[in-house]
Amino acid sequence: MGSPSETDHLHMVAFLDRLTLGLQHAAAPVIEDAAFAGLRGFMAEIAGARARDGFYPSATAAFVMSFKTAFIPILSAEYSGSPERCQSEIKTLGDIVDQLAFLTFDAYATAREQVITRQNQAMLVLSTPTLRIWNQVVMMPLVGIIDTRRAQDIMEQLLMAISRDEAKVAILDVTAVPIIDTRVALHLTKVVAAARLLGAEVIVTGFSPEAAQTLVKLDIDLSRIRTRGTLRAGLAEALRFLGLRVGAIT
Amino acid sequence: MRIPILRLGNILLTSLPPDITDEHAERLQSDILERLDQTAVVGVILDITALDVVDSYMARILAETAQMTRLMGSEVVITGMNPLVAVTLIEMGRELTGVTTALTLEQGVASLKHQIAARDGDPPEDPVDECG
Amino acid sequence: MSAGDDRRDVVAIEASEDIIRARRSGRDIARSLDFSLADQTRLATAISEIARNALHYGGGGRCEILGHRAGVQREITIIISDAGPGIPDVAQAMIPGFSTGHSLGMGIPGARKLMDRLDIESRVGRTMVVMTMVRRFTT
Repeated sequence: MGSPSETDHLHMVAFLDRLTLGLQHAAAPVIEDAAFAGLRGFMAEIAGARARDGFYPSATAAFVMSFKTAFIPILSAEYSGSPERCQSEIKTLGDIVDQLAFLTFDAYATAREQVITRQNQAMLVLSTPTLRIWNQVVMMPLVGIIDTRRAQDIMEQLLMAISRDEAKVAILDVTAVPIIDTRVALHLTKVVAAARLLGAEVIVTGFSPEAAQTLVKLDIDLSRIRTRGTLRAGLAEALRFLGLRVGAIT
Repeated sequence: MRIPILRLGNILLTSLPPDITDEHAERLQSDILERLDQTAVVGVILDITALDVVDSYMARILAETAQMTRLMGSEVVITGMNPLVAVTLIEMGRELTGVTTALTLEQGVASLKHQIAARDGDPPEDPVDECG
Repeated sequence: MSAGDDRRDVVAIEASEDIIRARRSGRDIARSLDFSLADQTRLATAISEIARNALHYGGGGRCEILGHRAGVQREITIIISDAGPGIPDVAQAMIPGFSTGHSLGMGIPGARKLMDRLDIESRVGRTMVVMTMVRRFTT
């Protein structure tokens, strides 16, 4: 881990200040004591910052545990005349550091979870954009793996878009969905059924040859789903459905 | 409280109020059927724009009303379903099979006219794909 | 993490207006915990299903809604209970399509699909349905 950085040094000074303050005022040497509130808050903050900066939890734990190795020789020298006193002082401080290590780990885990949740949310929004590509036609290009959580999100986003844009046709392009199995097919049929409740038709485009083979071999009934090979063909079908046609300007 | 049923040409139109109780929904069902019996209308629009919850009970009332209306010779279109209500119904496994839906009142009226024309053999006024 | 972040409401289920009152309260608490509109709708619908069962089968009961916030986690628990004759076969009541004569039997499997968890405890004179929805948020 090398020599401590300047930030580490500042952290250590701040840590020692709060630890000393706590030890002076605490009724009992337990971390829950109100006198240690400053220390607890400080450690939670450091652990959180380290989690966000991508430190491993072991590095943060090592930072806390390093105090144990640091104070043992100091205490031994201080109480060289009284081994019992020395033992009990080492135990008291050691317990506090141990408790701090647990607390730090919790704070670390909470901060990581926040990071993960935020990333998930950002990815969900990114992965399900809806575009109004014509009057009464919305499109949603799907990219990546579709799991249950995402399928739910796709359904919500697409239905909100249909409602918002008063769409009669929705095109769901699955060209960039790598795996289309029974579960994904089931999710697609649900999206189609939900859109119909709003009076809109769904056209699924871009089934790959592998997906077509899988779905037929698994005996999945997709007869109720309108499909087109390409997004272009899907758009043409959507326009035809609305009684429209794109022609050359003569 | 009686939910008003409006007549627009040969169509009956009713809008379900938010937080409609079970009793009011059932009363509305009988009121619609009674009006169908008294008047020579050919279609009914049930507008559910105001409903932010449609549970299986309300879904059943809606599907039943559509079936009963059809038995009496009229067509039904349900309009204005909240997109999140649609999501919830599908997740619960409720599909409202056999019920025609449209997003807006305008699209609902158009859909109704088309259905009636197709049923009675007249060519529809507007050229629409036969799947519509 | 403090108790101040917790929300609680109890609605007596004695008439069909109370079903609406219960689901509206559920939606309010879900909104206060920043649940998405879709989740608010799921929750309100699930409450509507089970509260109606308590009214029609249990002869009325009560609906308790608990909202809890802990770190990045938000949790809503719904406890609906009645003093009715009970559900004779709980396992069967969980199966979609099972009906007790009316399509009200639809309620339980439907609500279960909308929530993360649904448990039933039922005997003669006491039925309790506990449902939870858990979400994670960034602060």
